[in-house]
Amino acid sequence: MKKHVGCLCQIIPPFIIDELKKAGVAIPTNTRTISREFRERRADQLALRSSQSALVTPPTKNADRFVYDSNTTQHQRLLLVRKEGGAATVDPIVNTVYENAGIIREYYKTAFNYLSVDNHGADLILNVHFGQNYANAFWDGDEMTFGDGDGEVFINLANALDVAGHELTHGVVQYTAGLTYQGQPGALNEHYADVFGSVIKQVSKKQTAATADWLIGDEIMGPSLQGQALRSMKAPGTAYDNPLMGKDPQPDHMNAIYKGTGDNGGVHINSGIPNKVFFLVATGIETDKAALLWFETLKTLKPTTNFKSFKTAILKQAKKLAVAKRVPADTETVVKESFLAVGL
Amino acid sequence: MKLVYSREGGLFPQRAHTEVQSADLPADLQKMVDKVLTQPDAYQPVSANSALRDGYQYRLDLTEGRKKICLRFDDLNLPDEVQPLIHFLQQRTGKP
Ligand SMILES: [Zn+2]
Repeated sequence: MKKHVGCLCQIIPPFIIDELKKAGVAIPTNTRTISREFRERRADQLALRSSQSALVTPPTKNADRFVYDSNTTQHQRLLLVRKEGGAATVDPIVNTVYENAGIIREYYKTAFNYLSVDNHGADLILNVHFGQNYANAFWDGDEMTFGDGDGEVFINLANALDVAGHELTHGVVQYTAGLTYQGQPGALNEHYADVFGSVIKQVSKKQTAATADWLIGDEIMGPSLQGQALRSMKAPGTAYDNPLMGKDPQPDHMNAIYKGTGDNGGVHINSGIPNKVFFLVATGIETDKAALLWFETLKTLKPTTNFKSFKTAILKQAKKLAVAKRVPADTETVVKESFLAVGL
Repeated sequence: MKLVYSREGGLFPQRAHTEVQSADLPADLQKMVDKVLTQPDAYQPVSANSALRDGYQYRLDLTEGRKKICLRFDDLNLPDEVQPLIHFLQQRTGKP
């Protein structure tokens, strides 16, 4: 198990607590105690996992969900508003993110017998209402965090299953291949997050490769950008084109690969190339089989895997899974053709 | 004093950028910027989170005469005191 980066969350400063109290927000003292206990418990788990004893008997938890309300501050684990098995709250965003995390957890468990982000049942921590008009979501090594958006360009990012699936999958990648977040390995990291964001959305909507729209983030676009999305796996480079966001810069072929330094060497840009490959393979062998192939390959990748070695790894798994009759016999051919179509 | 602000990162590739003279800031933010200029070390983040995925990186360059201050933050180490300034500058960029 890779060494895990510790949580960098701040303890709530007293003046924030005072402001919250003034605003009528009650912060139960036990909530803060629970937050501290989480941090301590996770630090213990991580220390144990990196020790020799963990190789023999890894601890397993239940992948319990904990939803926190950041109350438009930039603080995580501020107010615990719903935990595993707890009743629904009056806040629909809290309930939606709780349900979506449950769908994602169930998908990984059912499809791959993989529990939570680490396959040891780590708690699933979800922060909502982060920041003011914060039009973004992120994974930070420990937990997921979602902003409300500005309500015009982007609506609440916690609403979308594919966005939550994308962020949680960054956790899965961290605990499996540990792909570095730079250049082609970084683009593969983003690619995997998009793949499982899209696959889980398709499973949830009972879609097939042929009926899915293959868009990422289409459900978080606000009123002024309806019909657009963050990415298109089917047609990279066509998801958006507007004055606020600019034009979707994703290439769908190696001949247009981004070679600049921005975006950590184009992690959100060049992911368009493997995204297109996944779309083509899923269209050829169906999404669930392609997802199995991609997940089994993920477990074999190195942190520095580039597109070329990714292709080699996928082909190796395709052969292995076809022999085991877990994917169609022609999978290797479909994979080869799909990579060729993007210049790989 | 000149301020140059930029933000990179996020779920989709985007660079937001703006430049402003501190005299053009609201009074409370001008005070904030003066404080940063006199005590820059108090605002340097402790450490960056290398495990951050899709988060924002913020950069703030302050220049007054020969004095230059460069501050870099991410979503998890952005000081509470600096947030109103970042929020103001981000709105000025016209990006979401
Ligand atoms: Zn991502």
